[in-house]
Amino acid sequence: MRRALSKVPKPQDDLYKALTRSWDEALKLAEEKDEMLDRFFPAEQLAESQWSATNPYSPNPEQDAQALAAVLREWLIRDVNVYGRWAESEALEFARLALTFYQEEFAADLVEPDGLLSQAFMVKGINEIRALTLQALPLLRQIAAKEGDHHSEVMHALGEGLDRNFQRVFHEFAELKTALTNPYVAPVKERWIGLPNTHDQILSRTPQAQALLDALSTEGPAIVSITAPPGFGKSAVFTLALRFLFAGGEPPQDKLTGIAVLDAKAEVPGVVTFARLLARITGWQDAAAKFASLADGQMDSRLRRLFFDFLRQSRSVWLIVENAEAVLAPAASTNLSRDFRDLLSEWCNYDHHAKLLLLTRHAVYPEPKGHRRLSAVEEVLIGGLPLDDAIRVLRQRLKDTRFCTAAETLLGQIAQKLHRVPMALEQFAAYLSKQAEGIELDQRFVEQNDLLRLDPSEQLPRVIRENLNLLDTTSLFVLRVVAWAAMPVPSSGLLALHSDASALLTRLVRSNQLSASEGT
Amino acid sequence: MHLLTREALATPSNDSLDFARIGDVFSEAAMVEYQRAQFRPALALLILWERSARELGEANELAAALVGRGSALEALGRPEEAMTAYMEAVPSGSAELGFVASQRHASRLRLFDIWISRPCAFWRSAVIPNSLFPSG
Repeated sequence: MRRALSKVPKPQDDLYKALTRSWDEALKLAEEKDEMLDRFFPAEQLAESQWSATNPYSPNPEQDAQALAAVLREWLIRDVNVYGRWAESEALEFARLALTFYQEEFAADLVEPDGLLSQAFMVKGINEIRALTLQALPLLRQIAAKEGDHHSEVMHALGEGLDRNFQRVFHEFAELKTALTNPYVAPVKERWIGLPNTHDQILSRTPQAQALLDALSTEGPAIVSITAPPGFGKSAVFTLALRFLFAGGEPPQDKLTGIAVLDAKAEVPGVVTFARLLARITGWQDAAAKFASLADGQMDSRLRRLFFDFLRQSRSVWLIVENAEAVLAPAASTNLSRDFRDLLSEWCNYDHHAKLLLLTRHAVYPEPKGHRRLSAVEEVLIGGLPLDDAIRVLRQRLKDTRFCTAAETLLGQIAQKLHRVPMALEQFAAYLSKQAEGIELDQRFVEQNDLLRLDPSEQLPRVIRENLNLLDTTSLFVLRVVAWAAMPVPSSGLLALHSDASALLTRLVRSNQLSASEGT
Repeated sequence: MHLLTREALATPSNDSLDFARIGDVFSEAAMVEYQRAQFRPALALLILWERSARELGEANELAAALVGRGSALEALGRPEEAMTAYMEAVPSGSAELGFVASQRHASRLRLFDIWISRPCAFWRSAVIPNSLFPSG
């Protein structure tokens, strides 16, 4: 634990310093009064049981509890500054212990619902403390009623030594109060991270967006995936689903804690990355630091168990992984992608409400438990836009150019040549916009040009090809044979191409790179 | 396969495909389908074998594939198309039909043995010596 603690960055904000100093001061005073020591910190056994019962992030609660007990004892005797190096989860635990034994003394200023400590931890995002204080409140009221003046009870309990220094302690709390008013201190809770920021009209995808929303709105854990080649509109469906979700304003926090979108091309999805996103959503920043520190290049089932506990506490969150093929494609078989697959396989084994949406060009294969593939949505995406909507997309994108009045039939032909695929339509329109002066958009232009490859820098076939290069050699060979055949190839022939062709074909079919029908 | 995927795979060209392997695999698979009386998939595979033979420029492979195709068409009740396939096979492979006796084409021999037992007498008598096909 000490090693882990040493990796946790020391909190720098004023709030934390003030809080730390206050606790340190109070406990120093307690140390001076021997008879109070047991009340502040009665025994190692207590620390052990409290720690193991309450710390959700420790990979080895028993060992940590013993280490904690030793550290606390050492700290009480010699080194009060140890506390300053604690991560927030440990601070939380100590605060819980301290509250248990401090409540009589610091009732008003610590544990009232609006008391300083309650506020401090609420600002840090630790609602657990608030719940604890609320539980303790009746007891405190009882004490107050019985003992009369709260402060005189405190003086009596702590004795003269404490009395001498009590004002200083309260001065520290005053600093804390000042720190609380500093807006930079408060952790920022970001409920919505990396959501798509587009106002473009999305056509013909309403039922698919609704289907996605339905899939994400179920109870319990779930993995949902949409698999389609690049440019076919996976992200558009997700964007439209979000528009529906936000149609009546932000969804209430008890219904949906937050959504985070992660691009797997930019960051490898996994426990550490997800923990960081969850920390931003919930405000529990130290938890993310701890996961990063614990992972330290290795991932095991214990850490995943802790992560799922973190997920459970985060309640209903949606984690969206775009370009998930970066870790799901056969060629991406690194340690990190293996860790991600392990995470997927255990995702639905735990009790939580987090949803994982994978927008991917390569199928999730083999399928983890609880995985739901939105095949109906995929089928529609593969089919391209309906012709009318494809023409509307072209018109929209060309509205500020001289091509906006192009004949319906001509635009229809163009849309067909572009297979009515959204990205191809957009690339074509963008090319026309850039090259407006030099182009006469007529029948001859449409017939004489490869509309998919007009712009040397933006060509959908090349993007698709790059995506196919993520396949293993055998899968790519099978695909090339099918492409060369240009006719339905009997499955018996494809299966004979490689000893493991059955699994490869299943993966290719689920990735919508091959279509299976009647034995071909 | 989506047309865009097919277009994407069109580059680089088919030159790098191993057509000898494709021909071997598809001809074997065609034989299995044919023996199981699955003539439709057998026909598809024979067409692909024929195309791979054309890519390779292998006259005997092409002749064998065409004969097989003719047999499958005949089995599917399309005699006119079968006849066309047989006739096309004559100039393609007649000069080197001795290949069937070679070790490499042992499987082809079995294939021929199956197919040649059915095709029309015209083609057999005109092109292939009876001694090559004892079961015929």
